Amino acid sequence: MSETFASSSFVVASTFLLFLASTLTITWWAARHTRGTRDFYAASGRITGFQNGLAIAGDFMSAATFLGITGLTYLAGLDATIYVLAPMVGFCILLTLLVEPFRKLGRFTVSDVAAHRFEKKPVRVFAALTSLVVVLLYLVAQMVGAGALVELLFGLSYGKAVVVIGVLMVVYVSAGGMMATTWVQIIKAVLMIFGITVLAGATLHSFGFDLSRLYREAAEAHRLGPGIFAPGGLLEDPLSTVSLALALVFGFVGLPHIVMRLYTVPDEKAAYQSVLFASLLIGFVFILVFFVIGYGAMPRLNEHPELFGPTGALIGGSNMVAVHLSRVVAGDVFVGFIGAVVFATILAVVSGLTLAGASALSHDLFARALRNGRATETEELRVTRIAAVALGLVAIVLAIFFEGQNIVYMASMVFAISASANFPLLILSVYWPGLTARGAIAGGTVGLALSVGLMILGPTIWVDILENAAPIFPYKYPALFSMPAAFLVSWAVSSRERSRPSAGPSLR
Amino acid sequence: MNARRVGFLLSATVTLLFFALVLVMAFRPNAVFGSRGLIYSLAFILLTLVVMGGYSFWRIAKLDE
Repeated sequence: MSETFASSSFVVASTFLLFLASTLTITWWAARHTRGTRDFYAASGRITGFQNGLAIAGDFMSAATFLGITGLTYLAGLDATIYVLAPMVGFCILLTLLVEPFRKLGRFTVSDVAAHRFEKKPVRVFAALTSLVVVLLYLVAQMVGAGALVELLFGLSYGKAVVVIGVLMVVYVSAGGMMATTWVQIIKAVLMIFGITVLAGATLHSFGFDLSRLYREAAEAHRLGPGIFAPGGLLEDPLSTVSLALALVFGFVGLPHIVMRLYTVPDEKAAYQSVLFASLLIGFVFILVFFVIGYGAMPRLNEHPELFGPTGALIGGSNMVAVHLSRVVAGDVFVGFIGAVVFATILAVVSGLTLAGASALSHDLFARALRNGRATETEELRVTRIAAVALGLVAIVLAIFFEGQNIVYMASMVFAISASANFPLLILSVYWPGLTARGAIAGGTVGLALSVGLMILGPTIWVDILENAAPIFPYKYPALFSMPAAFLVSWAVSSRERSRPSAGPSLR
Repeated sequence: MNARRVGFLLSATVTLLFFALVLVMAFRPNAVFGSRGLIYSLAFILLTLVVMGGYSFWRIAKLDE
């Protein structure tokens, strides 16, 4: 146990063991009740809107969301608001434009929706591959962050932490499928919301429940002074800012593990309820994290010089702001609880991602593309479980290989790819009857290639990692260019092909 | 009312408002914000939740009919 939790090891251990015991019991129960693919991928639509809302909120609220947004607010003030507002816009687009079409057109995965109009196999294969790229990158980013965090929090070595997380996520997914993964998310979401509410309450209590005092002291304590209430603390060039915002909004809509959740409820009414409830929960958490915890940490942490290293930087980096604040305003017992919640959060999010990746491999690539829909449910389930184990192994190896990489950038890469490859494919296949199979694949390929290529040629990878003198592409985030290019190519190729229209009906 | 048109209108409004906010933050950070940035952010979150709540209740009521 690291020094961070040395005095609260009992709370950390008991909270985490309780979480493990309850989730593994549910996984065992779910495994006994999982009979076919509909059970495995969608819990047979037996999850209620309220439960699914908690699970969607859990899927979205990763450790990076809680720790990352608190850290960014602490560092830069108002600019962190982009990370708070963009997902709310993403939820609004999902709710108003896509809930009903996704429910009508899909069955289990993103590829079901993208390929619903096309007889041609390549669209399904392409959608499955882009889903897989998004899931794998996101999974590796989460595990790299998780390994570093667990190492810092609990003193477990990075490699061991990654292996423990990888093994547990494979057990949850391969044994219990969507039912187990959903309940892992629900338990984690409840723990996390409780933890954040208590932390926000304790922070406010330390200011005598006086918000104006909190903000006044924050401005006095921060190096930016009143600049913490204005833009400019974090965002660099304007085009990168707009590009990042585009990726965060539209990338969210194409995330495969979020889309999959719409099929776990019995009907459209429950799907609306679940997205709305998830938005309310996330809105509530964001308000506490950004407006209270992030700003409250500025004066409270600065009062404790022992939390800062010789260089003046916070011990453990900005990701540890929430953890340090927990100790300062709520004591050792509570910081132990927050540590256990962070570990539970990591496990739950990687489980949801693994399930989405395994489904893309087994349902889309194996059962639909390779076996043309003729695979038996037993065969498909066997492949899903093998795929979950394989994904777990690949994620563990890649996470060890990518140790120390910038996880915020890796996560933004995921959102850029999702916005450039998945989102155009999904929205056009649902709303534009003129889209052809070739147009869909061409647009998606251009979006995928440009988003990945421009990131490699940009300042973060080309200069910081590959150590070249200057970037070939000058901006950090590519979505401003790659997403419109994907739409344009889809439109141009489909328009040229209009004499050979798509096979099935569209929604219009 | 056509559900698709209402959905497009609402999501377009929220998206445009968000990008207007982002553009101001990116290009003219001191032009509008002053120290009111927090109020704008909170107002935007609440507006988005109200829009989503209103739309959901309307659609659920329609589905129940």
